[in-house]
Amino acid sequence: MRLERIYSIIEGVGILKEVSFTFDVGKFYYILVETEKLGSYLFDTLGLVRPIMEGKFIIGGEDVSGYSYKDKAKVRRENIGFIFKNILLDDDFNVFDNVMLSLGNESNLKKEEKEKRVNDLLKEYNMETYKDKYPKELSLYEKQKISLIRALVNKPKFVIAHEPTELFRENEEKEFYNLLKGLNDKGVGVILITRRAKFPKYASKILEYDNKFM
Amino acid sequence: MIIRNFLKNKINLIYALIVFILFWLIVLIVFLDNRRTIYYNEHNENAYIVFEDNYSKYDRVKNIDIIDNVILGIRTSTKPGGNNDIFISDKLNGNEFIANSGIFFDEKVGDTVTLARYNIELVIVDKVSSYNNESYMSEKLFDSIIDESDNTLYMVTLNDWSNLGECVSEINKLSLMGVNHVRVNGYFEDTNYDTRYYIFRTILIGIVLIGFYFVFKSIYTHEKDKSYMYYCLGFTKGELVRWGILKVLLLFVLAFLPFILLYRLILL
Repeated sequence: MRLERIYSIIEGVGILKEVSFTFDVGKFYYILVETEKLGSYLFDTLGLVRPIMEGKFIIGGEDVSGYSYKDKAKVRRENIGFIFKNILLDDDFNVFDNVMLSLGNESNLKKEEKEKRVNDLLKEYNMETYKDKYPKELSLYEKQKISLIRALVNKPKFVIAHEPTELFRENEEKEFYNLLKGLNDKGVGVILITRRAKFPKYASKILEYDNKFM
Repeated sequence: MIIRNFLKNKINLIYALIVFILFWLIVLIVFLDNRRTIYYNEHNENAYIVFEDNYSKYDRVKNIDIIDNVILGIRTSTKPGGNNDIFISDKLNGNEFIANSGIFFDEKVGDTVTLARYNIELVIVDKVSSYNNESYMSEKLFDSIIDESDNTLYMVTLNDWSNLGECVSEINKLSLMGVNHVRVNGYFEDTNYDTRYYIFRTILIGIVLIGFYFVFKSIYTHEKDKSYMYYCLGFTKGELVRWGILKVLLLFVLAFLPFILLYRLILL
C-alpha cells in the first residue's frame, strides 16, 4: 500500500496532509495517535472509507484514489480486512453467517467454496464450535477473534485494526496480538492504530502520526 | 440467509408483534369511523341540504362523492302564495302540483296556482307540510322552464351525514354565492358522541403513529449502526438500502399474515 502526497479531510479536519509512505505486506506497523478521534479518522482514510482529496493511494499496483464509490467498495473487499475498535459484528447473524457475509456476492466463488473457506478459517482459529452461536453469546475476545476471521476471509493484503484489544484481559490481549503477528507469516500486512504500542517487539515499524508519519 | 436469521432474532419478533397490534388498532379506528357514519345516517334519515346555484353546475354537484341524491328545483313566486321553493317530484306529471300547506293555507286539491314568471298554471293534486315549505312540480315541467343560465335550487341528501362539513365545503367551492347560502334542514348532531369519538380516535391515531415511529426509528438506528461496518467490509450503500427495505418488508409480512388470518376468522 503506497500513499503519495495524500491529502484527506474528515469533518473539516485535515488528515494525512501531503503524506507519502509505503506499507509493505507481511510487515507489522504500529501507528501511534494522540486521540481516539484521530485514530478513527486515520482508520477510515487508510481503509479507503473516506475520500482522498489529493494525491495517490496505490494498492495492488493501482492508484485507487480516483475510483468511483462502487469500485472503492470492491477494492476494500479484496484488499483490506478491518478489525474495529468497537468489535462490530451483526447481532442478527450467527458466527458462520457473520463471516460468510463478508464474502458478499462474489460471483467467482461458488457457495460450496465460500462455505469451505469460512469453515477452514474457523477451524484454523479454533472457533469451529462457535459457528452457530450469536455474537451476544460470545465474550469480547471471542467476538474480536471472529472479527479477525472475517477480516481474513477475502484473503486481503492488509488488515487495519484500531485499538482492537480495549477491555481485554492481559492474557487475551497477548494472545490476540500473537494472532495479529501471525498474519505476517501468511504475507498479510498489519496496520494497527493505537494510542500506545503495547507489544512494540512485534512491530516492523512504529510510526507516530502528527499530520504525517514520523 | 437474511430471512432465516431475521426470523430467529427475538427483537424482530417483538417488532412484528408491535406492528401486528398496530394493524388491529387501525382496524379499530376504521370501525369507529364506520360506527359514527352509521349512527349519524340513522339519525339523519330525514335531513337534507338546500342551496341555490347555477343550473350549469348540476353535473359537478352530482359528482360530489358524499352526495347521495340530488333533486332540482326553482325559487319563484306564485299566485297565490308568494315566493317559494318548488322541487321536482317523480310522482307528478304535466302541470300537476303538490302544494305546501305552510304557504298555500287556503288552497285545496283541484285549485290552480300560477308560476308568475313563466305564466304557467299548475293544478294542486296534493298538499304536504314540511319544515321549509317546499312544494313540488313534475320533472317535465321543470325541464321545459329551466335554462342553462338560470339559477336553480339543489336539494341534496348525503350518504355520510357524519361528514356534513366536508359536503358544505365542497358545495361552497362550486358556488359563486358565498358561504352562507347553504341551508341544512332536519340535521341531528350529537356533540357528546362526537367529543368521545374524537378523543378516543385521536388517542388511537397517536398510539399508532408513535408505535410505527418507534419501530421504524429502532430499525433505522440499528441498521445505521451496522451500515458503517458493512460499508467498510465492501458493501455499497445501494446494497445496504436494499437489505434495510427487505428487513422492513419481512417485518410487515410477519405481522400482516397472522393479522389477515385472524381478521378473516373474526370479522368475515
